[in-house]
Amino acid sequence: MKIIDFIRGRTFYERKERSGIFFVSIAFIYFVTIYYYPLIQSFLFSFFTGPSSQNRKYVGLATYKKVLSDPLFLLSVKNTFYFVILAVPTTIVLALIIATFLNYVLNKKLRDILSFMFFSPLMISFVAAALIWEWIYHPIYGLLNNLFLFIGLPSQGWLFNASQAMPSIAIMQIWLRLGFDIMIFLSALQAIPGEYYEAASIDGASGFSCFKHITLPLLNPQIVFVSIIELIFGFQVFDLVYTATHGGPTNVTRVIILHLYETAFKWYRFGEASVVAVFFFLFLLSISILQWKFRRTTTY
Amino acid sequence: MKRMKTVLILGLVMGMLFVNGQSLFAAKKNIELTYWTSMGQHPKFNKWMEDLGKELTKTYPYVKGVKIIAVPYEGYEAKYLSAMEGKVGAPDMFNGMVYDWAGAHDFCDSMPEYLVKNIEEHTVPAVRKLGVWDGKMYGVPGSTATGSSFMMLYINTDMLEEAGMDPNNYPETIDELLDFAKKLTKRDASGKVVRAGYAIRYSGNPTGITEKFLPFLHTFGGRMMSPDRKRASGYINSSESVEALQFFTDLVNKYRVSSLEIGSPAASFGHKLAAMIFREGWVVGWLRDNAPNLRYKIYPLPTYREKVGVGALFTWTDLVYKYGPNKEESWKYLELVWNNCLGGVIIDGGAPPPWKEDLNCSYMINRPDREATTEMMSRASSPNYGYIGAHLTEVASIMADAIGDSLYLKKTPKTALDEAAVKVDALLME
Amino acid sequence: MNKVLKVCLCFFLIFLALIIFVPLIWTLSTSFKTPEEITSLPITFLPKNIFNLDNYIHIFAYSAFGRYLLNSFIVSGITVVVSLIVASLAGFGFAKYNFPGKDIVFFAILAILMVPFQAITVPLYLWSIRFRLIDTYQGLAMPGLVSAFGIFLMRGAIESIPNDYLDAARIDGASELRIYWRIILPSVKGSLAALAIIKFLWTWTSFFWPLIITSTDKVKVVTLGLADYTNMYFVEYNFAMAASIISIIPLMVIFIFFQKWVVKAMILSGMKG
Repeated sequence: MKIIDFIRGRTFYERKERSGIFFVSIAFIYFVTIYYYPLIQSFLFSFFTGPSSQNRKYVGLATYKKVLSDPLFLLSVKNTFYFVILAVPTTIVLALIIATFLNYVLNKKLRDILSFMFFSPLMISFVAAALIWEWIYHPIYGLLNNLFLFIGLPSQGWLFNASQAMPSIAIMQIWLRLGFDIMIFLSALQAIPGEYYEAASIDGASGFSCFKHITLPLLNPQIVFVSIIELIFGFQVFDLVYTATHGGPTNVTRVIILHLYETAFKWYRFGEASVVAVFFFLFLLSISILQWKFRRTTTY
Repeated sequence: MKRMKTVLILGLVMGMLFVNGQSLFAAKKNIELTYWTSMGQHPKFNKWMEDLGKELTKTYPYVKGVKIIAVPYEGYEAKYLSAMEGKVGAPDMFNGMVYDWAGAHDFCDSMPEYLVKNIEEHTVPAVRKLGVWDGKMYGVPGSTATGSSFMMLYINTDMLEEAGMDPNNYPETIDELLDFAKKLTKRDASGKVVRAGYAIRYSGNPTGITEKFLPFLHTFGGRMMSPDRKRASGYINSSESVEALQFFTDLVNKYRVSSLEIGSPAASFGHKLAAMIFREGWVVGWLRDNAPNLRYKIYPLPTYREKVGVGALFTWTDLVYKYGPNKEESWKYLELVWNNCLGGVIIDGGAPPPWKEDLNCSYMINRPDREATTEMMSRASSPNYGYIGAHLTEVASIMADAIGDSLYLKKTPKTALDEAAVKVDALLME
Repeated sequence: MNKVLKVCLCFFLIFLALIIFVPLIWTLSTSFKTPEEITSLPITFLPKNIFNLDNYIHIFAYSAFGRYLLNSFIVSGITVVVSLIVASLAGFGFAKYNFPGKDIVFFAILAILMVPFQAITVPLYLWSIRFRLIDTYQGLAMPGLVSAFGIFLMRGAIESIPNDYLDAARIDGASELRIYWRIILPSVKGSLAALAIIKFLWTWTSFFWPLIITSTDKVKVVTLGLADYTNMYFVEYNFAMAASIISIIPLMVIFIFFQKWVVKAMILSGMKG
């Protein structure tokens, strides 16, 4: 009993505190072993060269220099940014608009059906989605080109056209992620009390002004939340690209994680792959910290 | 007490998460050998291999059979690597490229003497070479069969007739190839190619792009690197190589007999979107299943300055895992497979078997690619770059980048290849 | 909002929803076509024979797709159950307790979301070998067992439970675990449901880790089953589309069934950062 007492803590507050630590520790231990330990191993890898566990040689920061000046790596960074700029803001804005409109639909049945339709792409794995859209984008038998030809537009190369490839993939991402964001915004919108709007319309505010001054600020936490999530998913894009274009044509869809995969598993340069992984992790971390700080200063 | 109980329950739950109920026996009792392949597109051949595995019980009564497991091609490298690194959960045998798994990593068992003799008796040197690394033999392209190791010309005879040409005629030289292609191409009102006279490979896995370009490169007299595999400059960007890439690019942009928007060549050929392609023998089986009404013929590759023979970029061979517990049984099984490949191939209608005698058996005589195969196998083998080992995939990627940049007119062939030369040189120096 | 505007909005929304939904209908249609139909021009939207189940029959005959579905269920189920418990416990810990380093630990857990999975694949795999988790359900579930996202969600939801309830219970002599079980869990049912659905979805559609850790049909999941119809040379679209539909239907059924809960859950949880 004495030992248990000691562990649990003697005072009421101590007891409380320790329980908290206990509750959190399960998750914490899990993460440390499953994620942080490999991550640190990866980090250590970045200072060595050599394929996997054979012939490892310490090289210090040389790999970092090599990776940072590798044009292929820099290209993949550029491509990933391009992708994120195309996909993320579009998804968030579209989701916001659609959720706002959905909120006005009074018929619950209709709203449910529409929500279901918007949400359905989320039930598809990335690989399946890539295959489905590959087929839709097929230059000869695809739905899109045949539609275009039907209405008199010329057929496009889509995934095979160097300047259309990335936007085509961005469209896939938007399609996949839209439902999730719509649901989050919609549920937040439904939680806003109607009195706010009534009060505003009594004061003579227009619909758009209502949106700008009531809805948006109240949705701020959700907007920040969604932005962080979409950014994280956007930067981590891999399965879509790998299945659909393999990074081509001419490396225009080569994204960071694809570069990481090839460096590690096709070219066996684990040191370099680790460097890419470390950079990637730190980069995402900083973006999220920035976003988080932004949120803290603007909530009500 | 209650608290203890909950802790115990939680402990049990966590324990369940880390305990595996599998038997940990390693005794040689009732074992099933495993064979991993990323060639999921030959399901009937794979099934035949499994059935053949049951014969192994005659020699080793404790072996139940062999399980053929098809691993998705996307990501198979990661899967193979993880399994073989860990040693537990690795397959007994697998299908892969010898320079990856014997060269870059030391994961392959070298072939026992009796089997080496067996192979030497029955295969042509060009085919044998594909399984050799650093002087030792590790395997033979059996299950994928020789047909994956070189390409041939496929030509749609209906389209020849339609264009008013003799359906038994075929291009023997590159110039004739161009000539034929010009006559067989169809374009729509806006000038876009809707049926390629000759379909090129320009998308998908970069190594594939390079591989499908090599017949052109080699027949023009170009090379990817020096014979001692130490330098790329002067070879990958030699005037012959540049000429080859220029011709390839012109097919799309100048002569417009090829399109960058038509999908993969094999599929296009099957869908009647292409009149001619270069592809390996397995297409015969695929066409039989997916385009049974297609009328076509197969011929050896056209030539220019050199005759291109056996030897592709990829050296898919059946290999045995070095750290497995069942190596002896695995080699016996592979011996069975290689000596009986003909059986499986007949079932699948896929590619021709590696044994040279089989070229004259009744099955092969009826295959559309028999003469072409015989001719190809008799030619001197193509330069095989497998010997540079681990970096080959990366070299292929660099080359594919150059090809792509040229095809899409982002760079001239000379610039693209010059840049590639610098990169490959850096690689080769490691 | 006047009536006309409302009707216009409705139509606009229906139009958008249809656009989003069309690819799935196209997939369904393709799954009923034969390979010749698929590659004939001009393309047809509807298949010749609307209930041509050949592709589906082929899939179930030549591969153990039924088994894959079962496996996906099991793995997703395990993951959901464990996730709910651990995430709510941890969320409780973060929301209602104060201990040194709390914020740092919380942030460290959130940072997990930023780790690219491909970077930890090989070490994770070696880990699995050590614990003999290769080709098992536990091994499949391992990386997804606890959700950083879930902890985030639960913390947000639990934060809004008034402290008075908890203090009252403590005064009555309840232990912390009892409080968790009796007060916290029932109050965040909504968020739990939301997390359950999201986690289920996420596990069901994962591909890369299952690829690495499964070798035999024993624990193979549907996403891998789908990948069987693609290979180095070509994609068999008729089978691939059929397999996609098969993998999606259970999720759709679950979603329709739980849709009320999910929407309510998301409202109740507030999804506050």
